[in-house]
Amino acid sequence: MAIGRKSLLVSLSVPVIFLAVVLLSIFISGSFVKPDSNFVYFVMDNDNPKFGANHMIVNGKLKFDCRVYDLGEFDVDCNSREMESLEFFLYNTNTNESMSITIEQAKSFTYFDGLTSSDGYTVAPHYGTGGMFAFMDSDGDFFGGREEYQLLLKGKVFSKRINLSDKVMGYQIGYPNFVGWVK
Amino acid sequence: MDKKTLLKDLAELVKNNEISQEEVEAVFSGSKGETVKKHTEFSSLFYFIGGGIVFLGIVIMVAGNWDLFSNIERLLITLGSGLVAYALGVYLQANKQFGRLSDAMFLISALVLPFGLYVVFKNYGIISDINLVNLTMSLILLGLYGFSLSRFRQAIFLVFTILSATWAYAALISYFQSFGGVTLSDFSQFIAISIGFSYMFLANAFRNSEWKTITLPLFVVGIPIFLGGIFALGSFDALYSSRWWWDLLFIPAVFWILLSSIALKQRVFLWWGAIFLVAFIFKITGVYFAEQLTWPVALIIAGIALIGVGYYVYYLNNRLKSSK
Repeated sequence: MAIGRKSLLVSLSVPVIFLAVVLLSIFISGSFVKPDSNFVYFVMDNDNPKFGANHMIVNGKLKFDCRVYDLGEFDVDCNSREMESLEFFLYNTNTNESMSITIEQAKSFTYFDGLTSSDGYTVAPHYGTGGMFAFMDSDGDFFGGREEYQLLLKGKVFSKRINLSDKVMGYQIGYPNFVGWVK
Repeated sequence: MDKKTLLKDLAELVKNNEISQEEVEAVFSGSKGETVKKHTEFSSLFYFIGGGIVFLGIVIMVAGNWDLFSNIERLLITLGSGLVAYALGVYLQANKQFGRLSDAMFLISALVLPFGLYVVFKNYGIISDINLVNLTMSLILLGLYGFSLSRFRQAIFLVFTILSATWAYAALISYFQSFGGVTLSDFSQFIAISIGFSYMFLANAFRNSEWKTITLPLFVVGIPIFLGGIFALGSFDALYSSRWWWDLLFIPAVFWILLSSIALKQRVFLWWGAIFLVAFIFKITGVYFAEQLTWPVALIIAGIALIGVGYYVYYLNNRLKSSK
């Protein structure tokens, strides 16, 4: 009438081994994921639904295509006060830190074309879907959709979580948008 | 054996949880023992169905009016009703005249409490990282059910303990995963394989214990999770046939499951093994052979393989019968 100890040990050891492998891979990835270039990302701290800004890299330079819906029609206006709601950050791949920069600084950099760095790294969003509570959002409302995000620096084998600015994490002011790898 | 020794032995068995109150009561009720047991099981079924319906009612009522509730009301409805149901369960458990009615209350609390904890963490912003919220909630529930299991020694708490431990495990992996590590898109399959494997061995561990009632449910759930995980890692498209080695690994895995039916004298291994083997034959026919051999030839080969599976299952079933 006793519990089979060997079977119990095997049943517990498999998840523990898998956890250990996952932990080890995180530890190892910290030393392996080191891209040559830094990159810029931005967030939009703006709850004005009438404002939209699309960014693009043209000839290595950052450009914006802005839309402000006002008085019944769209107007192109990248100098509007809503542009001030964009906050830019330079991510240093050596120190794994994000530094706040101005839009002028972001525009002054020259970027690589495309989303992949010269040494093959990409920046990908990692969504925390909330597991079994994916149907509730951060306000505790039902069916609010997915929430929580991080950015992962992805290589071919390993990836590493990017330390987003505390400002981004603390206020949750919007999705971080990848701009480009700085030359 | 005199009466004194018998009572001493009985006390020892009770102390080691090797004999339950129901089993002793069945001795007193003599030939009615089996009837009493069946009656209790039948009542328990109604308790569980009733508990499930109560939960469904709470969900429908709450989901329809969620936006109208204040944070306090949300908390009272979810966490409050979960705690009240748990407390009622403890009270009913202590009063034997209510039989297994406590199971229904414990079931309601187990279904409602996770929502209550979620409301606590999210509405009051105690933790902002959703992965950490998941992990914390699952660990709190694991603690509660682990404690309840050691205190009340009821199978229902063992089920809740296993479920919350599974949730904690998946939440822990998800939490670690958010830090990076190996670039894998198939984490959920690996988690499934380890959970399925763990369930099967857990079921085997409980086979000859006081918890033997949950052996079959654990096998029924664990085997498809284990085989399904390996199955899902394999190729589903000729373009992605680089995953062929997972398909290769599936073959010993499925035969291990099939042969375990004889070793463990459990027919559930045979049925799940046969179902997955048939699905696997169809899959590899489509992925690897349909293009090269053309569909008609591939279907002939698949048909012959299915006949082979049919005979093999028949043979194993006969061996299982004779071994029993």
